[in-house]
Amino acid sequence: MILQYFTINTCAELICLIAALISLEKNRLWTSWFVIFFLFITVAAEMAAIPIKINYLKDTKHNLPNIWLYNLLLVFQVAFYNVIFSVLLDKKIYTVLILLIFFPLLSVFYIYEISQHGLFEYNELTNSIFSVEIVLCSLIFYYNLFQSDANIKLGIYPEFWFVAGVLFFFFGSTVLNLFYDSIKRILPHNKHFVGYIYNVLNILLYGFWSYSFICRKWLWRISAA
Amino acid sequence: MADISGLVIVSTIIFLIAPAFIIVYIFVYNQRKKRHILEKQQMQLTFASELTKTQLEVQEQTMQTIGADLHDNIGQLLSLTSLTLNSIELDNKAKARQKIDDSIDLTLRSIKEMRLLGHLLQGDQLVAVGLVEAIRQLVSWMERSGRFEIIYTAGDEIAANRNADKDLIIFRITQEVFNNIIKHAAATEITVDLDYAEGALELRIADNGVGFAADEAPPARHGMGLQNIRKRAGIIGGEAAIASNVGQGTQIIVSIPYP
Repeated sequence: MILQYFTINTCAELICLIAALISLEKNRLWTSWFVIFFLFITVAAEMAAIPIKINYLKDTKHNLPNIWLYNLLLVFQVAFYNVIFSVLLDKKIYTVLILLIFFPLLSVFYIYEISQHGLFEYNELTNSIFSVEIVLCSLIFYYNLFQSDANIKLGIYPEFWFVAGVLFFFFGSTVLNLFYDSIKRILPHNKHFVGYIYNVLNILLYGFWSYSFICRKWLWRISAA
Repeated sequence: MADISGLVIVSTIIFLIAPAFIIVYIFVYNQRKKRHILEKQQMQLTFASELTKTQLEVQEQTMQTIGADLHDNIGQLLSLTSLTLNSIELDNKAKARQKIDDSIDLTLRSIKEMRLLGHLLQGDQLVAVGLVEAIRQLVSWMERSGRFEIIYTAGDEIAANRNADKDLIIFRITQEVFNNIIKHAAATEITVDLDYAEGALELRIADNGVGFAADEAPPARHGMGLQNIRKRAGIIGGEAAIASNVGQGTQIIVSIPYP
């Protein structure tokens, strides 16, 4: 019974959370605690979504009975990534791109979508804009790294691997976001392959993050010393 | 159904290849950047070591010149002064007066020589006096031997734009070219021009000496060697051109980006 909670996604997230807890245990940085908090929320939401889905499987009114949870999780995701990129990006770029453009845009679209179809429908537009924002931020981060004169060991640079996971996940899920309408229309009850793709993307995301935490705790420090 | 799922899967794979490519590219670029940084550091180290070497050579050359001068010139003058003073017979006042006058003359000459040596030592302190002045001291010292007629001209702009490292190397090149002239050229006239224009410094030293066949390998006896002059100029991003013919003197032109 308890095994039903351990899907590929939740296992990847749990491993990442454990890696974060072990690696960032004595780290006093607020970002470390922020990442742990976000991972905890994500794992909790994913695990909560499983019984909801099972219990409401016969719900014929709503196609996706647990989507409201993901719509709520989206608020945390937007907040989390926007805060994280405030550390990773140049202040000027961050202010213009995130604070002045994307954050107001996401807020407007989120409220608009919820007001249009309620919590039980996927916030497709907000998710797509969010993906564009994160991909853009990741590419800007890499561009800055590209331009930097600093002698950085990329193989053990935590920020590099953290953003790599983010870029893989959001760039990879672009197709799913773009085809979301078509998939929903053509295959309303046969979307297993979507789940498989998300499994792969989640493994990539949390795999890279776990490695990033390991770099932060051990490799980067040894190298810096 | 299979169509749309296949399309989504293939598109997703393509969308995953793009970030993978970006990441690999950044990795490769970073490796190149690191190599470039290391090469730059290596070049800086080589430059620093060449500068130190040049500094030591300049000092050594100056000390050798001073040593030789003290021994051959001032030493002789002072010995002669001592002999003259010793030979004074106080009873013969007229002769004594003559000898005292000779001694005064010898002492004045010694003082003059000492002053020139002092200037030469100042020339060693390039940072303090500047390249134009340092070369002027070198020219004064060369002229005092009476063997050479030297025309030295320097642009006014150089003093305003200075680069101590490059000054040191240019000074060392000048010193060595003068050395070669003294030792091998058998010249009587020397022209030294130091010009600054459009971000470049040009040093031209020409003599009317015996010269050599520039097409062939220059004689090994040419001091630190013409190759070394080229190498030194190259270290500071410049180049040295050497034109010479047997019996027609030698002209060396060193062009350096400046400051």
